[in-house]
Amino acid sequence: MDKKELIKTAHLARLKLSEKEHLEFTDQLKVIFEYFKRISSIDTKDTLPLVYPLDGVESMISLREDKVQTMKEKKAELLDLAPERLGNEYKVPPVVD
Amino acid sequence: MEQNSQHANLRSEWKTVIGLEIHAQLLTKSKLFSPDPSHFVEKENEHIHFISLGLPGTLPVLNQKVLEYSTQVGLALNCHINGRSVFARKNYFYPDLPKGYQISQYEQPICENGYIEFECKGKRKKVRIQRVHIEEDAGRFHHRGHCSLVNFNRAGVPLVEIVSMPDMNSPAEAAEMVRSIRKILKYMKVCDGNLEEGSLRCDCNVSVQKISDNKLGTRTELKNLNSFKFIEKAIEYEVNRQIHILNEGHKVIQETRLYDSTKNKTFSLRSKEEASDYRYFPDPDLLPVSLSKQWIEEQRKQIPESFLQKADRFQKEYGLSPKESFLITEERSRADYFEKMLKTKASAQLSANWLINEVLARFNENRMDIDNCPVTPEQLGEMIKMIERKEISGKIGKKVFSEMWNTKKNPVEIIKKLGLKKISDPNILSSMVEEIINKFPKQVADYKNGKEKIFGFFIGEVMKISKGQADPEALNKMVKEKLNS
Amino acid sequence: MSTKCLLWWIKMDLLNYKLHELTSLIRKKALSVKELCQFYMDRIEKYNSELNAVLTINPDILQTAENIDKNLNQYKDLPLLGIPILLKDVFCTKGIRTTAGSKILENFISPYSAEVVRRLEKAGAVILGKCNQDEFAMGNSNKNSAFGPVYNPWNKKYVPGGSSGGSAAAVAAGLCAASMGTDTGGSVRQPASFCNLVGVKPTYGRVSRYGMIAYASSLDQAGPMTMCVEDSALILESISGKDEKDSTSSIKEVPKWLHNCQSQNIKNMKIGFLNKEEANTSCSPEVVQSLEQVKTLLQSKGALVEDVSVPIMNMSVPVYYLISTSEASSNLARYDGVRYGYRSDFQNKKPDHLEEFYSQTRKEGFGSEVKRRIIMGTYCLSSGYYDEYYNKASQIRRIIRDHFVKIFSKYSLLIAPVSLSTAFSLEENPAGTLESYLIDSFTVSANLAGLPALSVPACFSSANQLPIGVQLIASHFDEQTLFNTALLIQEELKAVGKRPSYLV
Repeated sequence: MDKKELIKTAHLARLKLSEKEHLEFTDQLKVIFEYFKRISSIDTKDTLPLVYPLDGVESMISLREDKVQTMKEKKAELLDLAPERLGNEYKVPPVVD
Repeated sequence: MEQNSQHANLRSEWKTVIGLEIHAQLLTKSKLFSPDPSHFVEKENEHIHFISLGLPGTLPVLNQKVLEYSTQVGLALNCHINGRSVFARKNYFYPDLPKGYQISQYEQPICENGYIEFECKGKRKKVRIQRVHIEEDAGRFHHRGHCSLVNFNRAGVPLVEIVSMPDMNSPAEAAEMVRSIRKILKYMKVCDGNLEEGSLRCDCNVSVQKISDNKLGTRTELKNLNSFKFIEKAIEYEVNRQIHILNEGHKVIQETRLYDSTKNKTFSLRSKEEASDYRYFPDPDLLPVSLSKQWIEEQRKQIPESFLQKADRFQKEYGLSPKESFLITEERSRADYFEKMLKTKASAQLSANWLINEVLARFNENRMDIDNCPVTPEQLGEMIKMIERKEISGKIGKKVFSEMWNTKKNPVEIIKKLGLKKISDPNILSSMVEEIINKFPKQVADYKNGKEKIFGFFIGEVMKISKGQADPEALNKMVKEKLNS
Repeated sequence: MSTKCLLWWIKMDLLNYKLHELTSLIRKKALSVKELCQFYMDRIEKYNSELNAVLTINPDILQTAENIDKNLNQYKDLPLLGIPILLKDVFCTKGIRTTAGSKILENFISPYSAEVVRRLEKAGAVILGKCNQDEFAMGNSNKNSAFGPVYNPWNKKYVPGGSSGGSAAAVAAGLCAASMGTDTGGSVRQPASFCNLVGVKPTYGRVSRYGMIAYASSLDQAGPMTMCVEDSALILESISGKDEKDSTSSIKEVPKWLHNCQSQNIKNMKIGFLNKEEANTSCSPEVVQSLEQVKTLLQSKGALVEDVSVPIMNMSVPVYYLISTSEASSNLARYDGVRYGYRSDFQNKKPDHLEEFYSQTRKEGFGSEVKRRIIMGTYCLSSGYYDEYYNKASQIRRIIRDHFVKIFSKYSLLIAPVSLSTAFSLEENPAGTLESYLIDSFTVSANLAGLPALSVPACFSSANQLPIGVQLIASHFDEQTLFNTALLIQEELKAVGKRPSYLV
């Protein structure tokens, strides 16, 4: 990952990096990804990716009945977690289009 | 812009290609992955939950009803239902997106490769459906001076996204496609299909190409089209805009554009020059969904009659004309209303007449929905039966209907209260007719001298004194008898 | 002996009781829950400043304890009656701060409790407080915490391991009766090995993840960290089982592990020893020796021991980091300062732009290891790289998983090192280096495959007197074999139960 890609990736992740971090990360990730590249040596033709580790080992379907469950906790408790609010709405800086 | 005739020539060299992405909110009680209520509520941040707010540690659990509805929609659109489908995360940052990702479907959606057929300007049109998939809706935010405010009521509401192939070739076809999809969804009662309020949303991908060309032109995406009229107008504008650009030798930029209805123009959403990289990957909090062939067949059985099937059936079973049956089956709620009327054993033809001429007329006037009709189908059915039994005339019926509309009371009550029952008792009629005959000897003489047209005069006069309640048939008979005696 | 004398005598020995012995004392009213909680709170006050293992104490603990004492009859059958437990700060606890070791949640008070917490309480346990950890469970040293590192009670110049470092140090130092950690790539097993504890990572799906702040969803599992095997079995039993609120939690019935726990009669049991060389990294001689000791023991009891080759294991570390950082980059996107948590104050100058707001908040709220991993994960998933990194890793994951499943059709148990060495010093293995990631070489495979695994104390290093644990891995849902074999090792090698002498 070169510096340009690092900047692009950091933006995608909404992370601001200091100049120091930019340099550090570029060097570190270069070494790390160099090592990770070894996976390309494995033949994976016709192999399906695995996400759920018990896929094929245990068969399950998790569904929820279409029912409303009211929380015991008051909505006020949830809203109180907000760093900034205006009335009942969450407040954020303006979205610049 | 070119002169009209020049433009018409120009236009004929170009082919319009339109694809649609339709989002429909499903009518479930709870949200897609969390148990908070799904329906609209005015107060901000009222329908929220730990899960739909994306609190740390929360996990999604799939609403069974959504799986059922989306499968049914896929089947109604002639799709293949995938035995295994997967949820994927679409990652991006936006204030109305609580988790920083939307749970949607990417590879392996629930339905693929279907089609829909409809009529547009007298011609049959088939549009292929590329896919139907499930995803969650985002919240809403709006600007307020120096900040933005976010309301998460809508966050997590279940959506089906219906993606068509670029098979439409005119704004009218696009609008008709949306109408047809809407009809199907409303018919199945899985969505209330409201474009203005946003329970049904339509994005259009528009491109043009020279008729001789095989390659698809660069397309733009039109958003914010919340009426059928706007859909047509926006596409029309965009097509002309693109032709104009290409004709000048420039290129069409692939971008998202919004429609401004006041100016009848589309304009670019300046922001996203770089296409967003959503980094889709399978959601590890949700297992792949496995659907058996049996279960899918069960869903097929759950699909109610389509409007075409219903219209056909109404013609066959109830003897309605094609025009009548299409009018009544236009909306599922109307058809349901009609059949409820018939349950009272009122006749089909009369019920249809009343529904079309009285009920629907009033609705079109007041822009209401038949679900809000103040007269219940049972009440109206009962009234029609009274007309059929000749207890009241059709004319009186109209009065009674107005009363029912305004007071919501039963017809029997109203008729009693206003004393509107049809008079067919021969004794009463006899005395009324005799009263008129005695009152107007000149007219009696005229009639007896051959002026047959004056017959109607006597009918009219008896009607007046009976306040319109005389049974026309019986009255006719009685007057004839008395005059000829 | 007078009652007072007896009580004093019991208290002095409290650190040596197993959990079921403590609950027995409580039922007999020989010990009150309040006394037991006070005992641990005193020890936290005495020792925590030098260890930095505990971040938050439950302010209502004594009240809760008193309530149980008052209503003992009602609660007497509960399996974890009155047991004070510390939780890794990744478990949401209603009303008590939950930080995940991060500044971005420094003052976050969850309005709900994790399912694990609910089940522990339902089983009679009392939540003593929350433990320090590597931020968002990313790390294997507990040096990546926003609240300072944790020090290994055996030698404070060394790390306790991570990411459940605080949970491990707390149990080893006797600051609680037991603790809960989470294991994504070895974060329960490795600190257990470094601190002389039993640490279990159950089969994926055994324990609900609802309310457990996510690092990598397809790899995370909660696990107990205890002084002995029986304690782990008891706790795991109390928290396992289907949870409707976690779609990935298993419907498999939960066996009575403790009740059925007996030194494995391992005569003729086929046990495989993982060929370490294939992990593409080398173990210290003491680790090699610990494995030999275990091998000798098992052979002496009649087991059929063989070396097992798993060459694909040399891909485990890359596959693990590619997948876990990808999932993490997405799981941590919700920390944006909008609905909860830290929000940058921008030095009192309001940002006029939302993008700025997000980036600055996350820059200030996240530590560098977290940022590094988010960048790695975002990169792996990004267009152009998805196929060669994330997708490829997921495919190899299946190969690894299937390989292990095949191994378990032949062997009942696999034995492997937990880590490359004993605990390392605070200066070694700095974050962001490949070396720091390779420490996980032997633990990540069990997470990738969803297999149950545990670490049990085997011996001590002659070089630095630090503990060395040995890793047992079993087939999906076969935690019983793990407990039984670990119990045998516990009884025969006798490393289990030892604590640093100055703390006793």
